[in-house]
Amino acid sequence: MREKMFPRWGAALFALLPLSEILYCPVDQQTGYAAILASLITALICSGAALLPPTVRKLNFMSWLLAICALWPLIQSLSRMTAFVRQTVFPERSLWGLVFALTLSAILIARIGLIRCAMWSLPVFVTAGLLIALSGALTISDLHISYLQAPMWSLGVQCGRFLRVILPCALVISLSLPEQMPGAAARGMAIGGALLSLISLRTALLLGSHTAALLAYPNFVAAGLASVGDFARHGEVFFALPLLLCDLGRAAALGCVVLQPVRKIASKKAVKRHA
Amino acid sequence: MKRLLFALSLLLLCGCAREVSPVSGLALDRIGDQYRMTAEIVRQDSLDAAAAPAYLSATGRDLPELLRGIERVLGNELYLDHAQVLLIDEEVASDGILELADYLCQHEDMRLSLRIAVVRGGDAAALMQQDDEVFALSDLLDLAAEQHTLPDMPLYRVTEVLHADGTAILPALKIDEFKQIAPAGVAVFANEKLSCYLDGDMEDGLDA
Repeated sequence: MREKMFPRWGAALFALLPLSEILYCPVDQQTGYAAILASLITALICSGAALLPPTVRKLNFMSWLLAICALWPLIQSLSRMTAFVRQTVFPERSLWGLVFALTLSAILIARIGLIRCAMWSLPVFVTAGLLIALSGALTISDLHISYLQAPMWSLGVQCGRFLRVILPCALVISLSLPEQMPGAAARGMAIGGALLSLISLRTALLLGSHTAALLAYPNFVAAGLASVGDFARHGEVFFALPLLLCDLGRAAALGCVVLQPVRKIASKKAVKRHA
Repeated sequence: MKRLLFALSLLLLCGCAREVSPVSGLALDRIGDQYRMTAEIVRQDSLDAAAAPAYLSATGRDLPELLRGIERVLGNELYLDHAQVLLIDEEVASDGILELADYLCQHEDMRLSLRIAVVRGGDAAALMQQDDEVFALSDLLDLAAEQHTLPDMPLYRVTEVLHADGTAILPALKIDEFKQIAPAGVAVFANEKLSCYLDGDMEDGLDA
């Protein structure tokens, strides 16, 4: 039976893209605005790209082009995940050991194919969304509304930074999906972008822009301030785990795109051998 | 094949467990042109025994040197993740605390909820060693912040306000006449340096 991708799976896959930025993005008072703006621009472009006729998308040239374009965001995902894991959890472990372990995980997940990757991204997205909401709720009483700023021109720079990271990846995935899903791309990017925007705003209002600027992973550190009395003082661990899975999901989806032309060649050879 | 790869990746990640000593509090004093850091380390010799504090000190010119010095004395790594209080004496506070706050914020093990307090008219190390209960100082500061008798200024807020305009308020503590730790008003910082105390008692404080 032919596998089918449901729109909610597609939306969850697209939502992972902004969510996977949460751990790494620098934060100031403009980040929240920049994140939502960049996500909406990406949603618009990806929805348009998703309308490209299937005949064009299935061209050999196109799948090779997409595979090459997916390589850079894939390397970016793996390198930032490695740096994060090494700096926060495994400072003593070898860098190449971590790179190997994460690359291996991404490849093993990528082998299941883009449709199943999208299917698995739904529970990951729901878990990440719930934990982000919980982390936000636990720190709401400590927020300083006086740190809030109106949008300023400097948000353009940050919006550009987000676009450089999210757009190529979203575009590549949007053009690689087996079905046209403009609605899923728009919904996923908008929901993911809204969560990224809200959690960045939480960090800016909790830590302030000066303190946040001193930190390598401000959203992660801010999540550590969410605790329930003396219990669960290490909220950042619960916060980071699903977000790392989001980034791993992103890397796996890009891995699927990289493997697509290789798979096409392999399946053609198999058909010839069979004939 | 998959199992082999999985086992290989696990092998790459495994290693010897680090032996660490959890720190519950730190005290920083200036001694001449050097600093002395004292760490309150949580010791629990058996599962049934209650946690008891142990104190280790080192002198040096900056914070990394001080922390390395304590680790050298201790023989294993300090685990600063549980540190909840940093006490500083008036001389350290008068030198300026922005650099100190920045360093602590950027230290990967230090928590941003760490509370900094100024020890009024005495040694920070002596005040920390006054109570032989682990986390007693942090409980006192938490309670005082809840009851609004002392300012609620965790590390991240101190850093933010110092960067914003160089002014901050921190809780002040002292050893009272009954040899107990007691709140001693509010230490006011201007231009990142201790300027005065807010309870009006200036005889053992600095010039306003």
